Amino acid sequence: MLKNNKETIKIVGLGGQGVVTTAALLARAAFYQGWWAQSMPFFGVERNGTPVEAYVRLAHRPIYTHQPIEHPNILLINDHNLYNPRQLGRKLTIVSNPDLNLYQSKPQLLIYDSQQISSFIFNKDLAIGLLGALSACWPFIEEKNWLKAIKEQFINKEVAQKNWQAFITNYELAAKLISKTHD
Amino acid sequence: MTKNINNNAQKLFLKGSEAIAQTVAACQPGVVAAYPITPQTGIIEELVRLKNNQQANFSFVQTESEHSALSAILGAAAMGIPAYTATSSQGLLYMAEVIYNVPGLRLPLVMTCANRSISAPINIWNDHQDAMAVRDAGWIMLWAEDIQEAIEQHWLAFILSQKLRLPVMVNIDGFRLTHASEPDILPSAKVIHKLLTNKIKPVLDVSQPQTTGWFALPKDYHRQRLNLRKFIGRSWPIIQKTNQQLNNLWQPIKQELQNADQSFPYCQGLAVDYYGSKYPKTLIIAMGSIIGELREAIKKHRSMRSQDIGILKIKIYRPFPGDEILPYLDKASKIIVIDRAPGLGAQPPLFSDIKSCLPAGYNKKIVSTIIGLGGDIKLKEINKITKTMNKKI
Repeated sequence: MLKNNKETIKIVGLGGQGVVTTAALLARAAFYQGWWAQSMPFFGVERNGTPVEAYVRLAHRPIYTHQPIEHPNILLINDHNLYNPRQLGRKLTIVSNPDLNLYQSKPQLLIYDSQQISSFIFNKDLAIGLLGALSACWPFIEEKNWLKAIKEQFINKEVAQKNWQAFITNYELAAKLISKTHD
Repeated sequence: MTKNINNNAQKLFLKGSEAIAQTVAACQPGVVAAYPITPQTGIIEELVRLKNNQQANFSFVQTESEHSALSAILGAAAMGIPAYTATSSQGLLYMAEVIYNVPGLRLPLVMTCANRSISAPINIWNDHQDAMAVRDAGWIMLWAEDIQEAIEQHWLAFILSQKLRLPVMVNIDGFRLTHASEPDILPSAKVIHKLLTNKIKPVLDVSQPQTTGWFALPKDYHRQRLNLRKFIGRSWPIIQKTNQQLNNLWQPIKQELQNADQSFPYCQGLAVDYYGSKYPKTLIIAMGSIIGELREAIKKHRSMRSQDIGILKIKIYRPFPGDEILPYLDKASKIIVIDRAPGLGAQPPLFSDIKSCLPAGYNKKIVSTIIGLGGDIKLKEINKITKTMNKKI
């Protein structure tokens, strides 16, 4: 169940890292969870390598607005150069940073290396891994729905398999980091 | 695909442009011709993907310009073939010459206009200036608030165009609807074709070559154009009957798959929908996806709710539904009209349309406000509207 019946999520990365696809995938998984979900890219001219944003709204009732999200509850950042410690998600922020492993609970902030896994699987730094870490911190979408969304989003079986592998590996890495910090 | 009841409809998570393309494909046009322009491109891409996967069967013509795209489907319609195109902004303006030809020839066509601002300066984001430039060309103009409404309006557009023998333009806000992904309920081709016959009487025949839309002397031309005007003005009974048939068939199917949201008072009309209190002090009139922002704003802010605000959404803009709007104007004491086109050198288009339908002696003041030119709808502006209302009047 969603707290307050709604959730706003912003995904930030660079053009070409699959930020828009990652947002659509998250919204699709939430849709299979039985929620109303909406995903949309930052409107306009997107170029390879420049900052890109995508937004996801989740709720138990239909969403009427189609505005970009300025202050999200959950913020996912796939490139640490775009991370600003003064602009965090209200509830949770996840940052991919190859040089730092950090977890703090209030406000919830997870910084870890998702790039290494992504580069190993895809030979490219993609944002999909952050969804695995999100699932570890925010366990409201069931695993079967994540899998269903990935299979539906990527028609090519091999691509779907790689994305699922990236999702699970990131999930395990993030979960390990969180439990270690709690110990 | 998640749910499927009697193969009548399916609930899918789709991008706006994909949902529209799948609906158009289910309407089974014979010819689709288009030239790519942001933000319309996604619709045509999805249509071509469906054709390549053999999920749709139409002749696709990628023309060298929008002018040719509309000309190509004009020819197809003259041969009695249901035809479709989509465009935006400068593309629509480039079509302008042919846009006026189609209703003059009384040919049924459907076009999606993914609304985008027009140059100069160049801007690719959403407002309504493009469609407003051709609003009096003789097309039936529908305006969608969200993707679900856009799906239903495309279905309605194909039926209306064939019944009235007039072209229909479905306006959807570019990016805000074309690029957003949401759960959508799509009617199956089987359901669509319970109302849509796709039977069009051809005006041209290859075996008996002849011309159409030929030269007319002033007397004949004047008569023909006035007849067209008269016909469009008197087309409401057909529009109403068609809309009712579609609702009777579609609403029960849709409701089975829908998450009902009963929290919003709601009154559905033929050309307008009304949201809000029964006796509103302030009435806001608008078109397109900005209605969604207004609905959210009213839900969110108690201050706005306490002012008894009503929202009137215009779904059919041409022919203009003056008679249907008038009772709502009488209810409220303050009226705000939101335009997303500036009306350079005159009053904004929707505002002047509303003013034109007022009866003699109407003494309530109406305020015009222009929001979101070039795409940036500021929620603060919407919140301010009602606060500044008292000062303005």
